[in-house]
Amino acid sequence: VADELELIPSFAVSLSGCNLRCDFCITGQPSWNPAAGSPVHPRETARLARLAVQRGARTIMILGGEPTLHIVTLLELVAELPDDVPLVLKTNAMFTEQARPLLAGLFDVWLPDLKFGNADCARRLAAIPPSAQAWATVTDNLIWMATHHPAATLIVRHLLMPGHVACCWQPIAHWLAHTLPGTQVSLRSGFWPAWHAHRHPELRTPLSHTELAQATRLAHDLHLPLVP
Amino acid sequence: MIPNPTQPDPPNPAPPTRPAPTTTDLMILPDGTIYARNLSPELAALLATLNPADPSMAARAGIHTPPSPSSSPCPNP
Repeated sequence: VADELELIPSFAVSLSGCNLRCDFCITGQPSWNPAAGSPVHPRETARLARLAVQRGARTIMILGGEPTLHIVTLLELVAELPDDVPLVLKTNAMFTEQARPLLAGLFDVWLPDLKFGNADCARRLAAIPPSAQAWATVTDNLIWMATHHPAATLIVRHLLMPGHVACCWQPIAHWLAHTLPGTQVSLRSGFWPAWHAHRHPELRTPLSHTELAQATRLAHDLHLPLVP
Repeated sequence: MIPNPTQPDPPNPAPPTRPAPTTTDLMILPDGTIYARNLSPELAALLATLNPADPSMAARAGIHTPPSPSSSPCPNP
């Protein structure tokens, strides 16, 4: 998978189903079915994880879709996984406050994806209703990750979308610089116009070099540490 | 130029009991930029030959030197 260099090679366990409906999702509808794929057998998965580690995997990553949708399975799985290998949770951070105590202390690396910088883009591109208060939910969870897990690593991801540097990345960058200064940031520059991206004219192309340069410059200006 | 093959979200990797994806998608832009998804180590090795100076692709090809423990963000490597 195209993950941060510090985290690869990684043994990845992908739980199907997602609570977002991003028009640019590279897996699209199949990944939204929470019953897709094969049932998770935690002990067998843990055995495979150990095997992968023996073969060179540096981390174990749980992702989705949105993995916290299957929180019971997630907890059962984590209970079986080896505890001497960094465990990574890749999430869109749209989980509820009730989920926090269940997730607390389980992961060595939190890898949340802060996707949208405003409610209008969230609604237009991912069908997130304003009533969902996505920004508040995600940012509250990021603050929780950072403040309640000082020993863990927090890497905030943002997928740079063409035409959305000003409206999405800019407010996110400023929020991070102001609220979580020093947090590692992973700017994802490989936007792929997949699935229903064509519904949005600005999303019909990859990110331009100009926009990438603008986004990177802003990160540097705000002293956001970027990770490759 | 071969950019970091980042994607909106990782391709839903097959569950561990299933085989890995058997196809990789490439998108080549007019300026020569190459994007790849569902990148296999084998194709990463091929792409790495196009730009040996790209550490990202080298890492994905498994031909990199892992960062030292002190540079790892993982607290318990």
